[in-house]
Amino acid sequence: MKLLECKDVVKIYGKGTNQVTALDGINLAVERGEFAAIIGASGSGKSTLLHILGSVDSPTSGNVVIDGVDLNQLNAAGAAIFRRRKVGLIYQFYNLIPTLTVRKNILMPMLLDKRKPEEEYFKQIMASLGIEDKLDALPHQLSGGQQQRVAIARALIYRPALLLADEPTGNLDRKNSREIVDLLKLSNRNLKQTILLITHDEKVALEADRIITLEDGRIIADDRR
Amino acid sequence: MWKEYSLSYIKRNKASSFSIMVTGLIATLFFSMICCVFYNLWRYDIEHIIRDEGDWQGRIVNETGSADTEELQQGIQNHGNVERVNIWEDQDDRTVIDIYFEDVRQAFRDMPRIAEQAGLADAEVSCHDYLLSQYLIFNPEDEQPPMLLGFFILVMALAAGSLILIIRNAFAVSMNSRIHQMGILSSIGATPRQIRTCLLQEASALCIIPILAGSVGGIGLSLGLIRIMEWAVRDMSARAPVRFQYHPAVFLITILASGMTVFLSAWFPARRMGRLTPLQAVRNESEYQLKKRKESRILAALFGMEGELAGNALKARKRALWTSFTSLTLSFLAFSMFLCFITLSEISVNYTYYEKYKDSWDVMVKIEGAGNEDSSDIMESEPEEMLELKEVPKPEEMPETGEILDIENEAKSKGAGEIEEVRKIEGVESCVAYRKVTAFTRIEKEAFSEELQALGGMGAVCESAVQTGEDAWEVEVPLIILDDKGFAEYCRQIGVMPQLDGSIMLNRIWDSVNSNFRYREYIPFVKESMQELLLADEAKDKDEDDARGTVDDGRSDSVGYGVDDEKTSRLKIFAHTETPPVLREEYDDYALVQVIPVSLWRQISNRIKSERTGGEIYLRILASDDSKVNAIETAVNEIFSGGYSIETENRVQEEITNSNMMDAYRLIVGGLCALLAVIGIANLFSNTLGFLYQRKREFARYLSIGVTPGGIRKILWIEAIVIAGKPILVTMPLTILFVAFAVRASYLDPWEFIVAAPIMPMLAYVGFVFLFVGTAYYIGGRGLLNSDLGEILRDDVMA
Repeated sequence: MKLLECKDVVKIYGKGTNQVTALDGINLAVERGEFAAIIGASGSGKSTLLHILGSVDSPTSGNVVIDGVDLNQLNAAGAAIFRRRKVGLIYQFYNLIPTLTVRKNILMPMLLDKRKPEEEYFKQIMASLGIEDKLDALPHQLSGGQQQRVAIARALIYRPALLLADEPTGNLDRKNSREIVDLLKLSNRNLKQTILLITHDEKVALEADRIITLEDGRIIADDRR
Repeated sequence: MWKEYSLSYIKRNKASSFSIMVTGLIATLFFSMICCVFYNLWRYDIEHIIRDEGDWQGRIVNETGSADTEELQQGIQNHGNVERVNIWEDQDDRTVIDIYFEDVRQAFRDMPRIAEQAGLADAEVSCHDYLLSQYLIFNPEDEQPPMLLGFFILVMALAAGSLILIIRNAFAVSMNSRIHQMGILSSIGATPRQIRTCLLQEASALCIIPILAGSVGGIGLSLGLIRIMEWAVRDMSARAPVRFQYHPAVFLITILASGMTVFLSAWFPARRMGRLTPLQAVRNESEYQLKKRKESRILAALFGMEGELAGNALKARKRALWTSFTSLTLSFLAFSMFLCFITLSEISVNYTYYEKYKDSWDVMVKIEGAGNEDSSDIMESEPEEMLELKEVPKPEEMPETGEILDIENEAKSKGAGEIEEVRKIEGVESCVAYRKVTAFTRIEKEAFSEELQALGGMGAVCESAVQTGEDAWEVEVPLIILDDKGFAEYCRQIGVMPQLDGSIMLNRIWDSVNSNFRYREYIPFVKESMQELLLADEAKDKDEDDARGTVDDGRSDSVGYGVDDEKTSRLKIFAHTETPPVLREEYDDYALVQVIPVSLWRQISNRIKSERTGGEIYLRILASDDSKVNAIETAVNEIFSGGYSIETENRVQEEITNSNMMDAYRLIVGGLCALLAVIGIANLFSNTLGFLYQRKREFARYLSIGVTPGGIRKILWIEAIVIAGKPILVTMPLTILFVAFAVRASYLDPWEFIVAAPIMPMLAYVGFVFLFVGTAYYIGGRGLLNSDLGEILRDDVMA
């Protein structure tokens, strides 16, 4: 069952002689519960694709449908609510809100919807990520690995349809990288979470069920393992 | 680095450089103007005091003449701190020694020592408290030193502080926007010292010309402002013109303070940048963070998650916003305190002057020296036949004033003095001529009224009264000498039969126990049975009095005060009243005022000298209506044009002048306050806008986790409300405290202040603050929301 479908997605930046085509006719479908990795060289368009899928950017042309929602139809507020409920975004530099505690950072998407989390689910995530004892700390009081765990917890808290991770291990050492990838695999396996992971690290990509390779804005390989 | 980097940066970022230069110019301009105006007002005050009271710093008045003048002078000159002395004799033939000190700050310490060394009583020496207070030298024994200068210094300091903060703020915003660039420089090998030097060089290059130009321009502005002030008060009589003055020290202070501000404003951010690692700077990881966990409970409760985000963001940038907050708080504080101070002054002036004397006079004439000639016929108008009326008529039987005056035969009035001519001027409803002479008497304890005794006697209501012996008090007796017609009018006013051989006693004393000076209540001073006073020309000390012995004439209600001799005089009292004559006069609180006709004065004047009054005669004229006041004043001047030196005052004109002056005062002070407001608001505007542009990443982050654009707008509005509201919330209690203190100190009814409180201007200020902060946030927020936040999210270095 398809969770995500991109049809002829094109993204062009700039105008005239400064025009750059970041994505050039991307057609992609991802099944529910799939763990896919997108790899490619720097400038291949992988981050652009992730931002379009995360509705923080919009394609120049083409359609993206996620969990039955056509992203082109969303206005700014609709896109924000979509991000909040349907997509979990994980960045290389965590993007935690420095003025809020770990607990509030994690609960933020739910609090914005004035909803309370399920206590059981919250505890389950905290336990699996190993950050139960850090809930009252501020982000800058945590290590990089811990901050990335918090970012993953925040991305998972709303049980999003799709988890988008942009180089989540790019800023971590080998040990922490390993642990983060294991956590993503665990959430994919235990929570049936659909994950799209962007990385330039082939070792990390090899952990995924499917590897999609981008080059100059086009998909040049799509290997299921 | 200067040539390679800074110079090109200044050239390529003309807008930013220009903004700093303009900020420096405007801030220095106003700072220089404020310093210069303050200096001129301060100098004007000093000159005013010196003109009225002299420039002496310490003074010895040898009352008794006991000390040998030359010996005294020699002794004083020998004191280490005395620079020079000036000896002269006053009109009472007393020797006055004015002392000037080497170190005037020690005046209050040294004067008692000088007195002690010279064997003088403490009462004979004094320091020029008012003049010295202008140099912030206060009498250590004075519990309530003059606070006006201190208040003005405080307001000026607040204003100057606001201006200095503006300069600092301009640099802070500029520096923060360049952290990334500095990181790049650092990563390619620039040392922290090089970065600091580079930024300081830039600051100097940008600000030297604006500081010099602003300092000079400020002098010009203050000159203009002083001209406006002078023009506004041009109609005020008896006022020395304000002369523009300048001192090199003012220029130095302006330059140094502005220069130091620029240096420190550049130094602190430069030092902070120097401490960042290249990676931190390149990534701009200097993002504001909370050091420890904090919660914005109130904002969260009021506005939900957006309230908490806004509250925490403000808390994280607390230090950065400190400049804005302080400048706005300072300016609002100065603004509100200034307005409240003016309001209080106006209420006070109304009480002490306009309200009090509103119906007492229309034209006042002061005739210099005329009273010295007792044969002068100015006050001639006495209807002596009045004395023949032996019985006091009932009020309804009282003849009209005119009738009383008609008792006099016409032939008499032909020989009447100028006062009669004044009375005949068209529009003159009433005219009284009077003189003031001070005598003294001693009152036995038993003679005090029962009400006064019930309060505890003189000692209870008047701590400074002079007690001579256990049972008697020496009391000042102001004699108000009315022309006989005026006296008859007064008699009619209080309902007694006129008699020209006796006095009407204003039998009242301020009940200072149960009322304050603002809302005085009076009680009878002495028993109504007192029929006579023995007046002395001057106060007697106890020893002298004991030597003479007190008179006991067998009547318990009479006053013994020395034997009848050429310096004392018996005064018959034929009526007691608590109603003073309708004159523009203020009487001492604990004096026993006697109103007497001029006929009686002639009989006792050889015993009671009047030198203390300078011999002036006053005319109090009431007009039938305000339109005639100017014509009356002109006519009075014509009548007295030959042979008299007179000064006239016109209530209508004075009120117009005063009203003009107050309008001008309001205009100037209002202008200054508006200036302060603009300074604070402009500072906040630039700060807010500057910070908003630096916060794109923060808002991009909010968007990435699902905060809607509406949520972002909500966060921005909450921040605007907090930023604008906080200085007001902080200022209000301080202003209320200040007002409460001032109202209490001046014994005003709080309700009177509340009714006149400058609420509208303060609300207008609050409105402006909200408007400008709101506008800054609107502009900044619109810019933020219109920018491509996705681009920021795509940035790999996004933290």
